[in-house]
Amino acid sequence: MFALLIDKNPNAKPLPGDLAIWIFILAELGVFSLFFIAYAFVRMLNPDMFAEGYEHLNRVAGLINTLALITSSYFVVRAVLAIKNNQSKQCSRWLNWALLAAMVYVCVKIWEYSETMGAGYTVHTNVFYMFYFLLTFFHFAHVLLGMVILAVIARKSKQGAYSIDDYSSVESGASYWHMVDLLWIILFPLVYVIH
Amino acid sequence: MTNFLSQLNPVQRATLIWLMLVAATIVAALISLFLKSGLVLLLASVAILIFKGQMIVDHFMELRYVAKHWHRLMSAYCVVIGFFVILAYLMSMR
Repeated sequence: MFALLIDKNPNAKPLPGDLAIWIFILAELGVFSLFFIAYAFVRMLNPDMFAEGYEHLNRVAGLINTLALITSSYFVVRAVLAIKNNQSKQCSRWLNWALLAAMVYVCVKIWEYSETMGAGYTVHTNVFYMFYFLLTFFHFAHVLLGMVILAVIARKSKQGAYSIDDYSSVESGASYWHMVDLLWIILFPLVYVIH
Repeated sequence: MTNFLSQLNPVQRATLIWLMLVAATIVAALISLFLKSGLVLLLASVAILIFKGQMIVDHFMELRYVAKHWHRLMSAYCVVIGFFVILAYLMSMR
């Protein structure tokens, strides 16, 4: 299996960041894919329950969160571009902007959960809400972990720990954050758009 | 599209991709609002999902020019999920 992960094409660019983070990303994507596929097939078996659950979802919150994560990912791209230009402090600033956009996601998610649970819907209500809370909270936990990673990288970048010759950690953190974004890009239509 | 993007500098390219992702997200929300549930909504949503996923993989994750097996693996992810979502819908129609 590891032979598949090693690049044999001399013209290909190396993977951004460490190989270990990409193995971790593949594992995470694999776990989430099981949840996504299970959600699609359980919805097929319970169309009325899922249609009713969809009607009670806060779809505005889903839209705001998608825009917040896309914007956060864009700021992370700018941070990587900055460190490639040897602008360590600029990199830190872009990462702080990314964290601010991520905080929008966190606040909106808490608002969405409090509204849903305030209306009496919990993980025990039915299969729809079990999947809704399971999928979105599992993703939420990944966002929180990603924010910790970005905050550590931003702090170290401000201290000048990274440069044009050594920015693999920045790329690794950025790759993880883009994975979190990619997962939400799938979660958004699956839960908030398709009905 | 690819040729046009390659003519831009990295900051311009990233900004344009970000705007395209924002626009695609708003389009997805609008079609959800105006289209009744059904195959058209499903196919449009999956098409937008695959487009956005490819943009993130190619330009945000910067996997466009890495070894082909990595690029294909990551590009296939949204396609495979989309395939199963459509398959589940079609099975429910039987």
